[in-house]
Amino acid sequence: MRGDQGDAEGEALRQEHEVRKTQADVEEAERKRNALDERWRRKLEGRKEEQQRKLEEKQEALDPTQDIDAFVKRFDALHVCINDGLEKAKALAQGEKGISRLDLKQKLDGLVKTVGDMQKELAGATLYLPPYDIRQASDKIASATAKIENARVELAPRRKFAFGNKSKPRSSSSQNATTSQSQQQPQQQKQSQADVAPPTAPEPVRAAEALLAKFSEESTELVVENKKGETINIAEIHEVSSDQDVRLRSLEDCTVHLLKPTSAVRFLHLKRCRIFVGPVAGSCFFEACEDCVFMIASRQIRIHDSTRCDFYLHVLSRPIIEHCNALRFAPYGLSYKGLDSQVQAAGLAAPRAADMWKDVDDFRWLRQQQSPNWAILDEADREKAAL
Amino acid sequence: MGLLTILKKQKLKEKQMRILMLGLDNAGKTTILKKFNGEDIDTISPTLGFNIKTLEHRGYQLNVWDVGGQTTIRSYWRNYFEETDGLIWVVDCADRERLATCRDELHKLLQQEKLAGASVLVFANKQDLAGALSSEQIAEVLELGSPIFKNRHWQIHPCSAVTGDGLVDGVDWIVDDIASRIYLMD
Repeated sequence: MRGDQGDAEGEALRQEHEVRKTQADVEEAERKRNALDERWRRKLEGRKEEQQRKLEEKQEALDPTQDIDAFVKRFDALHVCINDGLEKAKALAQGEKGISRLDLKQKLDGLVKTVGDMQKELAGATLYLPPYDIRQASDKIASATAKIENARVELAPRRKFAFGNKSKPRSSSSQNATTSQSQQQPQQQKQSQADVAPPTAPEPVRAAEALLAKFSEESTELVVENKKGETINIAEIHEVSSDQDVRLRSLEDCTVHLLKPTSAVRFLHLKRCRIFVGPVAGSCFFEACEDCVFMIASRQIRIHDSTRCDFYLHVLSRPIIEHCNALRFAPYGLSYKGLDSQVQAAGLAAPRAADMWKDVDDFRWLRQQQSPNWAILDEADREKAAL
Repeated sequence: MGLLTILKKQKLKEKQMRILMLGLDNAGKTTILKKFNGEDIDTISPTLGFNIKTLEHRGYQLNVWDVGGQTTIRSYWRNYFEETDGLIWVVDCADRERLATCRDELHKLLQQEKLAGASVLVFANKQDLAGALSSEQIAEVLELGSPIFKNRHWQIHPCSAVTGDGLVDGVDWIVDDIASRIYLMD
């Protein structure tokens, strides 16, 4: 029995030992496994971290809001830089006489380069910018370019502008206006051709002038020119057909009546004249007129380089002015026998509301506010003329 | 062969042309464009900026850019040069005073690199006026025989925007010329 017991005991012990042994084995294996796991985990974590880092990097690159902000910041900085530069250039040009045209030009060229940078920024950002921002940005670029261009014209005019002014005998009296024009024109053309890169042959310039003179002799156009202190009733001197184009040129202190329908009229270099014109089916063109009063019914009105003139208009489109000042506008105040039927026949009849005598556009003033170069003539100061 | 012809025609159908219309102010550019397009020409105001019109003409789509001609905005003309297939230069044939300026501006344009390949149509406009010069006279004054026109496709056509005379002839020519130059070469 004892032996059995002992055997059984031994067996139990052995088993226990066995169990312990296996337990130890298991523990050992567990430890090893744990170590392995640990290594794996660390490796995995490292990898994850790496991935996370890469992902973040990627997201940073992709994240639109962040980049739009950055873009706007950089873009606006450039924009501010341009505005500052322009202010400085203007201050310099007005402040000291010392600043040379060349320096100004270089400054402005620098600003143009900055605009180029703006354009590059925008081009790079078009992928992720919303359309609205793109439009805003390109508007800014356009306005900056325009501002610089304006500053260039104002502060450092190119040669083109210099002789452009010279060639227009705005101040010359009417008597020498014709002579000075014909003397100046060839000169001006030579200059302008020299200004354009490769000068073409100088001879054709003369040829063109001669040609024009020849054509004028054989022409059927109606010209009234070089008169002083006269009253001229054109219809009494010339036959005027409705397809006639008329040119009034270099008149001083004259009163002109053109009470017939015509197709086009040009008013050039008039001083202190009073001009009364019936319906013009086409356009009226004014250049370099001073201190005149015009009463005209026309389809189109274009006024250039004129000062201190009053216009009494019946016109079917928006009158335009360019390089003008002290112009005043009023509704047509002329009446004579047969005018109404003439207006009808010329296709100029229009309801009051369609008459655009006060809708003047100024090419030198493209803003919402009223241009300083023209005004509406006070009702109290308006004239009426019944002929 | 039949299929090829059809394909070619189909290809031509989609073709577009970009035409730039310039000239001094008061030449009649906008009136020409509107008259050609069959619009009302009674109340056209001088152009402050530009007008764009897309016209269908003889199977081509013409994108016509009509840019104002005032001195103030002439300096902006160059903004429109890019990819121009044809230039229509409009002349007021009754405006003798400014024909020299008109010639100078035209010659200046022709020296522009970006317009180097463009066909040039000169419209001798306002032939309805009694005092208008003929297209032959205009050609002489504008010196269309000078060397800068030598290697260029150009023609001068008399026209009247008010009556519409001559407009179709001129546009037909420039469209055919551009077509033969660009699309039928292959």
